[in-house]
Amino acid sequence: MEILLLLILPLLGSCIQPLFLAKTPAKICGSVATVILFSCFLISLFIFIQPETVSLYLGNWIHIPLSATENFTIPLSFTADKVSKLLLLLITGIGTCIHLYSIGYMSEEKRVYRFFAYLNLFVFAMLCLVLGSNFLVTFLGWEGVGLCSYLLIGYWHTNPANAQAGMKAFIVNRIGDLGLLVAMFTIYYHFHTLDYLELSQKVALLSQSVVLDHRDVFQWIGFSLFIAVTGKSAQIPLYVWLPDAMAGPTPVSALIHAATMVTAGIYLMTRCSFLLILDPTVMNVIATVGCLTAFFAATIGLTQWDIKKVLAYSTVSQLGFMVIACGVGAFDAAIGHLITHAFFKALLFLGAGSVIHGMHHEQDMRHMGGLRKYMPITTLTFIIGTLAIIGFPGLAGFFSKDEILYAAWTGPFGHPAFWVIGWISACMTAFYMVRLTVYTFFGTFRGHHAPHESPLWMTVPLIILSFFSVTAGYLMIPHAISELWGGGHSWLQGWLSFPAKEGHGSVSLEWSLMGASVIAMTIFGSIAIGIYIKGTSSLPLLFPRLYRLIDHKWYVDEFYIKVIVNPLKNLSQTLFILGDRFLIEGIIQTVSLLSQGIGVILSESQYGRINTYLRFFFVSLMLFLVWILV
Amino acid sequence: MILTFLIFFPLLTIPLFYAFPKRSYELLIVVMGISFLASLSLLSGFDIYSPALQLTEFMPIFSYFSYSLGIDGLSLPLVILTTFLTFLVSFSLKEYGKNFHVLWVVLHSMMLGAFLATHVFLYYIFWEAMLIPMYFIIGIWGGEQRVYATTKLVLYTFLGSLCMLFAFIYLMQIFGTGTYEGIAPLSATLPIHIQIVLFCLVGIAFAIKIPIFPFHTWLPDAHVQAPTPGSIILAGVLLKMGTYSFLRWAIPLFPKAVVYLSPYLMGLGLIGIIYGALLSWVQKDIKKMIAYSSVSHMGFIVMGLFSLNSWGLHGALAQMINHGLTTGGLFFMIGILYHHYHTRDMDEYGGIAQKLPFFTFFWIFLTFGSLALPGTGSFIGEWLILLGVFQERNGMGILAGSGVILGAIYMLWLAYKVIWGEPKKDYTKGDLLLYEKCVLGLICLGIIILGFGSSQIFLPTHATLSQIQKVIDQAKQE
Repeated sequence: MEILLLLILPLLGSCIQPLFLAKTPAKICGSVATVILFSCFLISLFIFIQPETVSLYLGNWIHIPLSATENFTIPLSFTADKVSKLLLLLITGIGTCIHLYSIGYMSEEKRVYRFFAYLNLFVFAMLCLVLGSNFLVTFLGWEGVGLCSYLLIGYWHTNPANAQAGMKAFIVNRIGDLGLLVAMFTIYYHFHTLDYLELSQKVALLSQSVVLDHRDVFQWIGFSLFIAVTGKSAQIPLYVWLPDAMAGPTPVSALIHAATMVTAGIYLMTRCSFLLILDPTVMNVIATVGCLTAFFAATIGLTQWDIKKVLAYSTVSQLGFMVIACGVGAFDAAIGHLITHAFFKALLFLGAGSVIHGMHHEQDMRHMGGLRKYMPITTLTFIIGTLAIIGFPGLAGFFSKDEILYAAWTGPFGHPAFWVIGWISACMTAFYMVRLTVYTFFGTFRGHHAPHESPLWMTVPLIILSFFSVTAGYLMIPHAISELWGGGHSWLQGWLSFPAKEGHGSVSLEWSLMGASVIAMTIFGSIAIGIYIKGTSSLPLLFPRLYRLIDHKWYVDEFYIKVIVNPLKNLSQTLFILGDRFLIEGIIQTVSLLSQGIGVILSESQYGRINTYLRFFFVSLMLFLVWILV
Repeated sequence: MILTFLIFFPLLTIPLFYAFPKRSYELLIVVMGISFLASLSLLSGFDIYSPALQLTEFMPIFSYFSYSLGIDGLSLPLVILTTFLTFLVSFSLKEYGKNFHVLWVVLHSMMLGAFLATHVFLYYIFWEAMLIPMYFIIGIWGGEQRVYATTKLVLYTFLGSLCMLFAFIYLMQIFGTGTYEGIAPLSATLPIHIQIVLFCLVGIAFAIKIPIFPFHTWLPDAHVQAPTPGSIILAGVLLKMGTYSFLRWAIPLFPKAVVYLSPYLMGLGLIGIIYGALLSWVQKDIKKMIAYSSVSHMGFIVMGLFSLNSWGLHGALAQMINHGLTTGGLFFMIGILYHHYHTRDMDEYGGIAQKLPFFTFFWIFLTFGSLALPGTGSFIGEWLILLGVFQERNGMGILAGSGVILGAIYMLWLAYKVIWGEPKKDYTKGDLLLYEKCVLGLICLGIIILGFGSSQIFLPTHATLSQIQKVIDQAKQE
């Protein structure tokens, strides 16, 4: 029942906005939406404290008979198990903060009811995604969030670039969605179910030899699931939509493109972890792609000047970390980083939004600088966010990222190489995040209009989120540290209780890896401070070619357009002109002309001219005679 | 008698249209409304657990020929779709005048006749008669090249029908009867090579109607030239006539041939999906683009039909209804645009969202309905079809799945060109009128209901489709 309420409230909220609040001022629209989200948060809390799994069955979504006795049924049912409960809290909690923030951020917009309607609809879809108890209900949410993402990226729709970014996001995601569809079909083909629980039971019954004999099946399933992940969670090769998605209003970037929607892929992998771990090849590919994404996205983050673009590439890179965690079999570490990242990345985006708001829609860091004098609260919270993401000891990112890096080395599918790439990416994270902070908030002001601090609507969420960016890590204190006072597994591991797969690490290794991270973070952070505190940088001049390559984002977009989009469009054009117009129409025209021609010839013979008739008569008589004689 | 009433009652009211020419619009709405209600009343007497034809009417006329009607789980949803769409579209026919209204009534009756006829020859008569009102609707009220388009439509379809007629005459000759119940069990036992010949003969007629690649080139022309109501019925109902006929006649009558040919037919469906989608993407004319998208969507239905399993068949039937609603709605909206701004070139539009919020809402709704977002009816149809195809042939399932991506590409491209961006016109002509909102609201409601309630809505179709499935399975074993 509580799940029904939880789902209906945001859906209702999105209907209320256009129906009743279309003419009301922005603040009322926003308040209504925020109150709804806060109620959702309270309900989620209520669900969270219940010891048992909560579920809801709303009837059959699809029901067709296969034979006299057998039916194919997909129920519209929802289950809140431990993973889902945790994510419910996260979605509705951070969602409430961001809704509250949006009241301030969107207060000057016209027709703002659209914005809050989409935002509430998004929360509804996201809840469907994490609550679905079978693949199809998850898919409902999975594409539903895609729809909301499309609408919100293109929210300022008069600018064609925004509309284009929304279109790109949806289409690229659709490629991933096809992966999920194929995964569903393959799973149904082999297991005759799409229900998570039933599937996990069926898979658990498989013996080792059966699994080994059917490796291709599990690889099919694993790879197609992972394609879906690369779409939604912005991994190589489908990450290209996420940086463009920054065209949307900043609260959207915080909620959808940092904290919740983009982590759907990670959620999906944890849901299907029992399938993925059956094949080491799949796991290795996942970890490798995660590493590459973490690395390449971080390199691009180094050179960006748009404050939101830096954060976008940072998000891609951090998602890469979570994917590494999944790929090495440390699914609890992935969920841990998902949680802490949601807090500090939402905080950073909202902080960036506060800056953009205060700077009158300026997003280029080169026109900022010295903002700490004008925006003290934003500055302080942003610094907390930065420290959290770069893994400053004691803050949230420190615990979750080190958990991942440790698992990358020692996890069931781990390898030191994964750690090395993860570690380098973490170094770059420290560099570009400190660069961003220093360049924006320190030094001298380089803009034109004097910025102002944001209203309370916006600073209160910043403060709440920075509190959690500091404390969320204590849910996942690593074993090495908790051992100091005799603690065992962290709270998160206990809560998620994934089947423990013993890695091959030791406490001393964990301490050394942690030390390596902290030292690297300190060194690269300090270098960034040293370079950017004065507000100028000669770095591009040192490596001009490499800089240009990275500055153009490794030319990936250009590559896709040249190699995929344009050829496809040319092919379509050719098919239209050559295939449809020339070939098929040509044949039809020929046939019609032919019949017309025959008609003309035959009608010639029917004009009633005696000599024509006589000619025919004689010719046929001759032919008849020849036929008889022969 | 209810079926006869459904078909002939509107025809009987035709004299009234000439008696009260000034009131013909109101009269049309009343007649179509009664017809719609009558079709809904079919539900009360309908036994959803029976696979057989129900409410049958039979009257021998001479030798093999008899007047026989019937309805089952296959025709029921299509009959309701037909009356629903013709009723809804009637509201927009005010400015067309009484002659159009009469043609509309005739078209409506002939379509119902084709869905309800259970005698091959009666069915053939309705199938051909449907063309006559359509010929005039496009030929008189169409665009600049209306005569070319309508002639092409009629000749093309006629060519196919002729082949079908040969097959039907042959069947009546050898079996001495023409009713569905009479010939279906006998015809299914014919040797396979005869079945293949007969299947190809009727198949060409249906394939042209659907249209299956490469018989599709009449469709873009007809759609572009047809007036809005014509386009809606063309896309909404007439195309489904082809897929319906496969299910009604071709599959039960020639199951062995169908089983033998199914990979090739699925292949044609697959080509249709991809080819239609790609061509749709490069069109400039909005109507032409939706026409090619219909080729793509009908490709899905064809693939579902010839996957020959429960998922595919149920998905195909659901998709017929969904595509009728969604594409009908899109043509309705294009008609509104064309009415105000007299162009179908998408380059001349843009930025509608800025000025016309209601129009934008419905357009985006239908866009996502068309690209099969979960929660809309099309998703259920497409998903079941893809599942069905995948269970038979994995590779084809994946290739057909690319239609999901391509569908997003061309539909969002269209939205990008028409709806978003800087306004290119002043769009002073108002947003949707009240009746337009009601019509589109009903269509969108239908899409959502079909998206979530399909397990209930398609319950009446289960028994009949299971019956067809049984026939196919038998043929597969041989």
